[in-house]
Amino acid sequence: MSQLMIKNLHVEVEGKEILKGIDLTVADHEIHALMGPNGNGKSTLLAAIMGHPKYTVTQGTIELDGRNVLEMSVDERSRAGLFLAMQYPQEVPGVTNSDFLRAAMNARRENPISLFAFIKEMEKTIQDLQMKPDLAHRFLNEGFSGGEKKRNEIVQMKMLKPSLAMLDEIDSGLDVDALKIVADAVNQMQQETGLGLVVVSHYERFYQLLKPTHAHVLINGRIVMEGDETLVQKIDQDGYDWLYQELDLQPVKEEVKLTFTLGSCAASARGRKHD
Amino acid sequence: MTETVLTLHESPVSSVVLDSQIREIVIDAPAPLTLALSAPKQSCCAVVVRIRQASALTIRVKAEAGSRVTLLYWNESSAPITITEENEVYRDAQFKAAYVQLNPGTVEQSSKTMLKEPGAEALLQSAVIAQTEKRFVIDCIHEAGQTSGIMENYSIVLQGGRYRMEATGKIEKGARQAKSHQTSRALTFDAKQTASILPKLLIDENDVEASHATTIGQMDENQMYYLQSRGLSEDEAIRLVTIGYLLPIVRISEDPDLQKALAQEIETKVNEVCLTSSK
Repeated sequence: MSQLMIKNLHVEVEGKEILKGIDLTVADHEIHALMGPNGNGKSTLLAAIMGHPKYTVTQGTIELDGRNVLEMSVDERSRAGLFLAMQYPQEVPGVTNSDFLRAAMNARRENPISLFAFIKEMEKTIQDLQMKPDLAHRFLNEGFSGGEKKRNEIVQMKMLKPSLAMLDEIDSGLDVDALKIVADAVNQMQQETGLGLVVVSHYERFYQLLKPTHAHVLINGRIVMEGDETLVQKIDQDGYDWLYQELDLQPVKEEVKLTFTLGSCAASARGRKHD
Repeated sequence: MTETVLTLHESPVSSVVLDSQIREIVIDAPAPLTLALSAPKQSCCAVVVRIRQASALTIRVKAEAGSRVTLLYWNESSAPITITEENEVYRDAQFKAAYVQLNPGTVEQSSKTMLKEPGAEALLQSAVIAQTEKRFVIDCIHEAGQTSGIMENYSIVLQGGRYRMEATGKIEKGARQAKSHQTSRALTFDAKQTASILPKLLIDENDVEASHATTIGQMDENQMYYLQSRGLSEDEAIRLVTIGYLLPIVRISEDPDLQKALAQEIETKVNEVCLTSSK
């Protein structure tokens, strides 16, 4: 029985409070949909659980099976059973997928995995995700398309076998077929291992395929509403406006950094959204 | 066919002809040594030049028309060494040289490759761990048109190490459709280390292709976070990224055994020196 328990979590980024008291408990076999408009703290919550150095926990606790996660380094959190499939997976030139994955698998084993067993497992997983067989020999995420990067996150998840996985917009950038492949792989793993899941997505289609057992809406750093799959459907149909009205909340505008460039004829200055 | 290992303790009297039977030249010389190598027309060879000992080494290579020459210089010496190298590459010859400098000794290397006739190609690569001082001046000179010169330099600069790479691609007047490309990357472990890369392109002809790319910097924090988020300890993540910096050089050889030996050497050296130095 695996359980992630978060209590009254407050998180700051560069001195600004983003999460303002989150309570969330995720047990194995459960699938939690984490919803909310952009810029309200969903990714911050997942990154803080994983231990990204940019995010500072100022109050509250995170425990995994009774162990204090906040005292662990990032790699210890991973070895303890947490996995974050990232929204923007990092490219690491010079390091092949296979060398990296083998090192990551060995990091959580007493005896290193044999080369034969590793290759067999990697080949099978690559096949499950319907990726090209040369994936193992390519440098980690380098030159991958957006969809390949996302699928590669799931390859890693399947091979590292976490007890609790967080998927941060893993479905964005996937076409309909790839979305189904990824959802099937996640479902299969969940059935086999009882993996607990926290899933951030903006699309009901992905949730339809995964069938969440719980749903949470995060607005302005707080979970303002909880429910089950029907809440996911309602938000898909009606958006978030009814929630703002019902709960008397003010929408938080996503912070948009503006860079000004002179127009080509140098006659007008226009603000451009900065990603 | 027997493969030959040629061991040199002093300068050979005449030029050594590179044929397919010579697999390795070992240089183990207490005094300065001069070596002339020649690859006959249409010949093909791949030779490891293993430097055990040499205070000063002068090497001249002549790759005659249509020859294919791969030389892998593997410096094992822990003493200071000065290397002066001159390569002449003739019509349609393909010359590849890799400089593997993972040793603790200081190195001062000056290397000049002349692409003398149309169709001549050169690929010059270096993989360097700088624990002490390592300085390189690498020139690739296009004297004729339709020649190609590629330089790729990868280095790791450790605490107390100093690295300097001056890489020049020179296209002379009349060398139309010459291609000169270079990439240099240096990975440093803290701000106090000294690494300088000076890429130069000297071009005296139109209708050519030329480029250079240079990066110098410390370990990327986002890469470290990503690798650690998969359970790799900080040391293991540093180790993987560091090996990844130097590993591309193994592709100089098509021999899988040599590739494996070289990869092994890079891993061993990185394990020995990088992890303690990164602290």
